[in-house]
Amino acid sequence: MHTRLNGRHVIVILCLVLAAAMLLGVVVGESRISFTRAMAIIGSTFLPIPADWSQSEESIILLIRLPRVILAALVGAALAVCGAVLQSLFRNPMADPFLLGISNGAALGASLVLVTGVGVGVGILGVPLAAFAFGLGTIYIVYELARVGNRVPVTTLLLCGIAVAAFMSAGTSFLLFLSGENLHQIVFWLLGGISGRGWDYVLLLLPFVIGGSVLFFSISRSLNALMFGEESAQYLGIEVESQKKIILVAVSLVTGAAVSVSGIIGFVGLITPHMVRLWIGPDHRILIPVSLLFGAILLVLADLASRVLLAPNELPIGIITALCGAPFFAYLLRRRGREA
Amino acid sequence: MTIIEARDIGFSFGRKAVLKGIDLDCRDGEVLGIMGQNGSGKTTLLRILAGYLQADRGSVRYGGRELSGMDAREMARLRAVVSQGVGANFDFPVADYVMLGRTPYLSRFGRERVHDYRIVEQALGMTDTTHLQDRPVSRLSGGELQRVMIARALSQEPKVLMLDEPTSHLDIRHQMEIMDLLGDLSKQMAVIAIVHDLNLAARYCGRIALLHEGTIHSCGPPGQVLVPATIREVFGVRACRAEDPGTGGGIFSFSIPGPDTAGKSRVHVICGGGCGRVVLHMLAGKGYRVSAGILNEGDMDLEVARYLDIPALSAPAFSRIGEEQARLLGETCLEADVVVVVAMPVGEGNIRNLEVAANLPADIPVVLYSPECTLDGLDCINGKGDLLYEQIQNRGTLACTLEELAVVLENTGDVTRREDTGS
Repeated sequence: MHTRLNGRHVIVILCLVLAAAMLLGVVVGESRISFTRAMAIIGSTFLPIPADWSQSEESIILLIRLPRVILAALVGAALAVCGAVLQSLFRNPMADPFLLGISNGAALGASLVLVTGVGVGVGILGVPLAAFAFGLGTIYIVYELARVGNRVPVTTLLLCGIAVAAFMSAGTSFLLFLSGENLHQIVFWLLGGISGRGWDYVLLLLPFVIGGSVLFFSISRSLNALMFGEESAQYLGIEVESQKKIILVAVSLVTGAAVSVSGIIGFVGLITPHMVRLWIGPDHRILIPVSLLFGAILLVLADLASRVLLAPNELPIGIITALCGAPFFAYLLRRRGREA
Repeated sequence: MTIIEARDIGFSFGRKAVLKGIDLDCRDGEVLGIMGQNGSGKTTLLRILAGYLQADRGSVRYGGRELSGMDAREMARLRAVVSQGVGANFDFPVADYVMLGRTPYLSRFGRERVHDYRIVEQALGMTDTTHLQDRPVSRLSGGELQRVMIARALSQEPKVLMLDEPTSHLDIRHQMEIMDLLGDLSKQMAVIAIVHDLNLAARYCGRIALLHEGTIHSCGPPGQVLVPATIREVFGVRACRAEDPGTGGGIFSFSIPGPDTAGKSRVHVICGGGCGRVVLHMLAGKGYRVSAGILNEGDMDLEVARYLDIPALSAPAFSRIGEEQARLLGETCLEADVVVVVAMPVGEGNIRNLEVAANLPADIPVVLYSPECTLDGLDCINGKGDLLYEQIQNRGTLACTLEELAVVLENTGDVTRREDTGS
């Protein structure tokens, strides 16, 4: 396996690809604004470039498209990194934030705010706060349910996660049933969408993504050890129980933040680390940064597709990721099965 | 030098006490085998010694230091553990896997140094896995995986290496290679291994700690610990020890004792010249309380009797059976419920055996077993032998096959027991 790709090269290349994808995301859209003009508008924010464009063009680029593209990248990065971490923790390439019920819990919290209008006073923070609270609450319930003495076996954790997730999603459906005139808004949000989210959402999500990624990267050696089981990791000198708590809280915070911004976007968290692992191997010191970049690229492109495919209508981005992700995932599984 | 001292270890799962006061020392330079039945708490003990489980009471000390006062990282520099069946779902290359053993020496963001690579290289070399280093761990055979897991443990540079059934699921050659490897490693560190195979343990372990009902039944060199009486008590099997022609050590063969040995009748077998081997094996296997003799030293039947742990009357090699021995035989036969006479060539040396059998009181059942179903040609002393055989046949029962013998004994035993209860 000396042919394994050099991690640094991969990261540099992916950074370039991400930049290109984001530029494409900014340039392409319903109102036609040329590439150079778009670049000039962006450049004018930190360079003295004379404005030869209309006020509305500037708004479209700076206040609508740019935050949206950045948001797509952040959400993709967040989901992919959380997926990579959970897959290692659970020694299961099928694990992701949804399996633990975090996403569904966060979604229930967010729907509660959207339907009942509680917390209107806190403005745009209402939905994310509820999503965090419910995401954390969910992982706490799952953790306590799964706890045997002071250990939490992974299998019970996964099973409890599935049970609690089902309960949470039933709660969300119930709210949908009651919601009446808000139905369309909630459904659209649940299906996953980042349209119409401005800079305030970017600022909301950014600290979580950065903080989470740094944390996860810093424990990548522990994650490598955890892939071979908790007992084995403990024997290698890792304080497994405390490490596990940190990971679960961090994952639910990052996931809660992502869900509150974009609703439930499936398959990115599951498929990105999976693909990356097939490509560069399972070493988390490379897997985490590469998954982060790859997830960001995927979601920026998916967002672009959601705007372009049925233009002028927009598809919820969650539909795009599921439509592309599920068959691709099946293909990966088949191929893997034949190789083994 | 003693590396691990465990004192008065107690542990319970819920209300079930698994370990009740274990004292165990583990020394440098030896392979310490932990043995015991399934569920006797071997793995639990190993996990407590390794600091993964916390004992309810008692203490574990490494070089005088209390284990409970150490953090995971410190423990990982002292001991390495090869657990059972590591599920490797991910295609992690062997070299990277072995490098994981350096985890307790590396800082959070620190990169591996030349020193770490050298240690990994050595660990691969010692376990003969250098050629595997680029293979993913998920595609190794059982024997290869076991070696690679040991290599990872070695790269922790431990003072103690602990292994939970390192030879399970391996074929015989790989089992022996792993045990050989552990023997080599024990020159540099203490090795503790849970071993199931008694013969493997007897051959490769310096000391054996036998766990039974939550306590250490016995602990010491295999020759002292693995004796038939102990094996029977701890594992519930009859063990027969024989000399291994290859190594000069002992090897065991095992059989499951009959269901109700206590109620079985006493059978005395008169045999010789190897004619009685199968009978002795069959009777011992069925759980009869067997005795044998008189047999000359050097007689194959005597060796078999000793192998089967059957008490036997014996006479010096190549000598005639004397008056006194004949008297002893008579007494033994009187105590038996049944006497089995195996058809054998008879000469001056062993004629006394037949004389005693022919003159037993009428209430002692005698069975004559002759696999050829004939008594011709056994007499080597002009008619005296034939006469005695005829007498025995007339007063007793003749069995020509082992099955027949078994049936006759079963019925005779029943009769005897019925009489016992009747009186």
